[in-house]
Amino acid sequence: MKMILNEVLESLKRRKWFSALIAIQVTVLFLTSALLFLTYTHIEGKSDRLQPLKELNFYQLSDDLASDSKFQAFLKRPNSLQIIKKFYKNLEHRFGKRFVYLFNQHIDVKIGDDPKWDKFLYGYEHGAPIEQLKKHPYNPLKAVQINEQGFTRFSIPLSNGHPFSAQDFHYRQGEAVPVLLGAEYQPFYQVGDEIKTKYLRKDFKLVVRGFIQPDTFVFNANNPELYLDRYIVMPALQFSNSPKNEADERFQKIHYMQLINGMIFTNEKPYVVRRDLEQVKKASGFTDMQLIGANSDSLDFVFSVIRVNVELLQIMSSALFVVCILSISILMVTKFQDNFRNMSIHLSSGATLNQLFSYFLAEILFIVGLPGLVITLWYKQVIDVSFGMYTLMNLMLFSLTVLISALPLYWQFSKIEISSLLKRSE
Amino acid sequence: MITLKDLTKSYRSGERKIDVLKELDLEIEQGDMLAIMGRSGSGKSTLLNILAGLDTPDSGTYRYHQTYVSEMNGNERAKFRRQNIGFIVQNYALVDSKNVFENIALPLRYSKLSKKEIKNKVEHMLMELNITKLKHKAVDTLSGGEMQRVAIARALIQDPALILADEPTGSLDVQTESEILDIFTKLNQQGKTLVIVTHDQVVADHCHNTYYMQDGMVTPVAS
Ligand SMILES: Nc1ncnc2c1ncn2[C@@H]1O[C@H](COP(=O)(O)OP(=O)(O)O)[C@@H](O)[C@H]1O
Ligand SMILES: [Mg+2]
Repeated sequence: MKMILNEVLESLKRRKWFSALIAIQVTVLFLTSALLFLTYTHIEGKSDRLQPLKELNFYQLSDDLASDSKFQAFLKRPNSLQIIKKFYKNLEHRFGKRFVYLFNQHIDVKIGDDPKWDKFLYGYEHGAPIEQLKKHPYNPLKAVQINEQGFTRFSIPLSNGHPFSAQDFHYRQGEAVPVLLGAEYQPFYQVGDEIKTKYLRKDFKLVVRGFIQPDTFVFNANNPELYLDRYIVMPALQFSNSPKNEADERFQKIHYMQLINGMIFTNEKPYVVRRDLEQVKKASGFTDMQLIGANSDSLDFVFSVIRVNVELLQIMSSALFVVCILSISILMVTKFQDNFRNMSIHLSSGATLNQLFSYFLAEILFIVGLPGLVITLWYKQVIDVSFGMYTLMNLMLFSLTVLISALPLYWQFSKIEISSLLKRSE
Repeated sequence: MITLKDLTKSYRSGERKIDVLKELDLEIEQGDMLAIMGRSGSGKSTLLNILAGLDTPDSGTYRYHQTYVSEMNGNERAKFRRQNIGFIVQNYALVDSKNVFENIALPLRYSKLSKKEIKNKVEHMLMELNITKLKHKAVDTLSGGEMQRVAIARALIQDPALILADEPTGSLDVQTESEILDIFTKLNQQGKTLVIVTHDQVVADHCHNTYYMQDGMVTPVAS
């Protein structure tokens, strides 16, 4: 065994550049086949088991329209609202229970000057003077918007009143929007009270549906613990109607831009989440979206290559397969013919032809196996999806490559006579 | 020790069939030191390769002590080579990717010896042939005489009873040639049997018997 290793290492030194080139080819072959494997496997995200939220990974969706000019430019596009509505719908459809939206956007309420309201003011905990926080006549109060999945997943406990129902998340013209109030609101409102508000500058009539138990918290990417005691909890509304006027359109756009910046809660691998998001992006024609927590250079690379197109990948990997096999057989047959002298020394030292063949075979195993192993480890690290299936496919590719590229050499070995080998080594 | 009987061997190159050995008979006594001379292409190397168990005759028998080498398969012949044969060729055939130590140790790699045993054996052999200082050198830095000593060391490392040398002094100067011949004579005195193929009368003169090879057969040359 050690002998074989030694001979392989010595032999590798002999035509090292050619060997290195082949190793690179084989690496690319394994890489393209890994990508091809990914395009063919549609592992559906297993719907979440009822795991406690904290045990799941969460990824924050974040639109790329960070700069204001970019954002404004997008809003000005005539169909931008349809695009983001569609994007949102696809998000919900694709991610289902995994998609949680919890956003922190104040609601403006006329509260008057009574200091009992101060603690509800947006920014109160940040320590700025109260006067600066107050606006007239409407004052911004702390509020979160949460989607139905989020409401269920965080399972917000109530001290009285009713939780949201599914239809509460759909806006109905002329009807009050139900809200849940934090525990500290309890002295000031009762279930059934109506409140006149503005949300994103649009008038909304709210109706108190219930009160949240004290010390209840939720979280998102910005707040690891967001206590709801001083918050108004509002359903993340969906607007099925198209906007009536320009102001309404602007409202819906901003509202939906917020909606799509949600979170994905899942126990799936980053690759799966990334892939699902890519599909949502593609289906909606909205690509300015990132997934914070599931982005890496390697994954970026994977998706940029997969986007190229499947046919090209197929052609590339089959071409590479042929090229690799050709180069390996050429390398080995060349080495075989270069090496009559060394082989005859081994033979007269007591080796058999089978042993000599095993050195060559071990070299092929090495040249193919090492890149294969590297790519397999990379796959495990970066993607780690259907690893068993993937390993199986790799083993098949590996065996096939080794077998086919060893055939010409095997043929050479079987037809060579020791006498002519000795003759040619003289 | 060795009996060759009716040994034939022919090669086919394209249309032509070359009969190299034609019913060759030869007896070699244990402890002999034997020279084989003859024209280039007369079949000397072929004969030596068959004696070494590297090549096989088309027909005839090769008996080594009580065993018939001509009946053996490839693996058995490899084992036979390991146990009985030391083979030295003209162009100091050394593996150029290995250093002196590894070249000498090569036959031991095909037997089941421990690292320590291998080291001891090689070092002993280096001492015997006066080349201890070459131990770690790359073979392409050696002189012709040094290379041939290394090749001899490798041939002797398994302590074979039969040493076969194919023109071992063919490309050496007179001084070095005589040193190598001294080694051969010493080996013979230690009881080894030597068969040396040579063009050189000086070499033949050092041997006990000389055969001349012609027309696929060997005939003794009267001394
Ligand atoms: N493997 C081979 N294939 C074809 N012809 C061979 C082979 N080996 C040797 N010969 C031929 O056999 C004859 C004897 O060769 P060889 O034994 O090398 O002679 P010598 O060593 O006496 O010069 C030569 O004519 C040579 O060309
Ligand atoms: Mg010859």
